[in-house]
Amino acid sequence: MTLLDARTLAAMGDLSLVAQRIVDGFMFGAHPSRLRGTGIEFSQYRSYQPGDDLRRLDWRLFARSDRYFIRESEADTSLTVRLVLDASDSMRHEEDGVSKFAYARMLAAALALIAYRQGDAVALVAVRGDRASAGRADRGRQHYHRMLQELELLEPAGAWPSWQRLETPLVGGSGRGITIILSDLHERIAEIRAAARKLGILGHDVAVLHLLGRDELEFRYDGVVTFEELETGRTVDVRAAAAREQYLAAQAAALREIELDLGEQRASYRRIVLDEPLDGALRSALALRAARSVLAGT
Amino acid sequence: MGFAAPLGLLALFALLMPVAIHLLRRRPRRAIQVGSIRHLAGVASARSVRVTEPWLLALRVLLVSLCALVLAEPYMRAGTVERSTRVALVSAALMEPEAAAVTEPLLDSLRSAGAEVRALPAGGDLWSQAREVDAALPEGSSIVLVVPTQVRVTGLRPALRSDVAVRMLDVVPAPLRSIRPSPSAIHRVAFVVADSRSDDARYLRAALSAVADARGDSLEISMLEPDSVDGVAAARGDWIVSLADTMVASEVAAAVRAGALLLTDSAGGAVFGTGVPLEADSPMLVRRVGRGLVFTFRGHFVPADASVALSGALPELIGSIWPDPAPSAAAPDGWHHVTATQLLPSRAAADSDSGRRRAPIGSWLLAAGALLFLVERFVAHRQRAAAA
Repeated sequence: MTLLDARTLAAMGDLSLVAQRIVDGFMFGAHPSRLRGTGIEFSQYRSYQPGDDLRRLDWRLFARSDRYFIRESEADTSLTVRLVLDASDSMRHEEDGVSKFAYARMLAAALALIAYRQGDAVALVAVRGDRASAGRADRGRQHYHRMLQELELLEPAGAWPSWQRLETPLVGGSGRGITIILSDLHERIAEIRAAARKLGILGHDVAVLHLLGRDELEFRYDGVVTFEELETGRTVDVRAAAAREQYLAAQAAALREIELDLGEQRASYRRIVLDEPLDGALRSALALRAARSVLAGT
Repeated sequence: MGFAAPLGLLALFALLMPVAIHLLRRRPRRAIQVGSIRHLAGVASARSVRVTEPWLLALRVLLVSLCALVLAEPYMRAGTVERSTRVALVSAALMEPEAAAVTEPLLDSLRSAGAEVRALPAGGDLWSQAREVDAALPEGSSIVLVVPTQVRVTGLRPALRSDVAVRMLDVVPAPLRSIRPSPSAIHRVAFVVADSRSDDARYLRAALSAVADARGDSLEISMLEPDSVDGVAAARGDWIVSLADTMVASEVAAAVRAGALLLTDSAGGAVFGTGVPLEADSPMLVRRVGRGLVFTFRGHFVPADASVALSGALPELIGSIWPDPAPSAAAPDGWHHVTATQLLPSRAAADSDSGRRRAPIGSWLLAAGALLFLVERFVAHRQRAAAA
């Protein structure tokens, strides 16, 4: 159990500390970046290689990270990073003391920290049953801390709203950027697909981080179990051994469908299991862009 | 093991309770909250009736059974006698060659029933001889006294441990043969019969006639309706046979008190209280009321219902309760006309009930039950703690 596992971090309480630890852990941890351009940022940076044009060094990043990074992309690199956090009841799914929501929140905080450090604008879109609030996109320290505060106070509630209510907060907004959706993707793939399509049209990049519990993924239950669906309250009693096969088959089919769906919309898709340490999850999240750029290059 | 109060076993119906509780109880199963159950759609629900904790259920069943058993007052038969000893004591008078024709068949049947036939020495007193034999016999034995209608008894009736039955044979003992036989008596028999019991009355009438013939007595039979018993004026030794399915009328009761003999069934005899069986297991109960006797027959006289009438035992039974004429003055000392009832020894102390000692084990079972109850509570508590 590393220091960056969700349980330990969740116990820390202070979200800004948590975010710092995650990001620092990732940067200075034992996670060698393999893919070219994979780094700690959203913009297309790469490590400084001898011979690079020093004018393209990002000094802010150097100040923070003590490493040299060359900004690669030519275009305006001011990005808007929009973090869409699923805060519906189903995110209260808990395994081993950590709920999906808690995990997603910490990951979102880490991503927000990175954006802030890069000088990118970041906005938080919290999707709850009663409303989907689209926060303002802004840069700067105060905004970052306000976001963290909002994250800390956020509690999951309600069911995933319909597309009508989601459209504006998800799609509306300005500028190019990247939208990262952190969700458990239960019965919301239609809305997310629609959002991905629209955002794609606008030139936005969409990344979907699918949160799953280990028990949920592998159906690590046994005996006679009563399951209660968080959002609806429906229950079902099953004999685990008898149900496992069917469950895994249904789940595999659903996951495949999601991958295909999102692939069609050219949205990145990553599965994150709750028992994964957060620095690894962060790397997963950030590798999306790099992976896509690699693929785009081929 | 036996049960003093076997109705207590009805309490075993209470076994339904823990079984039902175990089967029907919806244990608040740990509900795991998940984001979605859609992948479980179509999985067969596990709501089937299941016994969740078989051991606890078994423990509870055992507990309830123990309670029911305790209610039924179980006892162990101490010192079990596999085959009770039966001894037939035959009066000397019956062993004489003249009496052989009457005696031998009875003795043979007793022998085939497993009784040891012993002849009593002549000239002895029946009671003391019986007492000697009884003292020598083990617990739970039974004695059959085979005697003539006139026996020699002196002193008080003894209290004997063994079960005693009496078989009376109509043989005049040798010492009395010289006595002029008593004159035949005329007995008046009044039948108070309800219409539904006319069959019983027929059989009884036949039996009474048969006995009277054997005795050399004669009968005067009158039939009365249950509603009109005014004409019942009975003298001593007269019979009233009441088969009316209701309690006997007060006129009949008065006649009995005056000295009549009433033969009736359980319904009719109820008003006089329960009597004493003539012999062990005899269906005929006798009770002295005033100067008369009430014979209550537990059963029916019609052959279809009882084997008594078929086997010819009915006349024998009647014969055993036939009133004997007053003894003639010249009877030798100590010789009495007796009826079977008079020969029965007084009941010994009640705890040698049916001759077998009973050791109640109810308290042991109760102690075991208390222990099991503590175990059950402990196990149930642990289960609850584990489930919580």
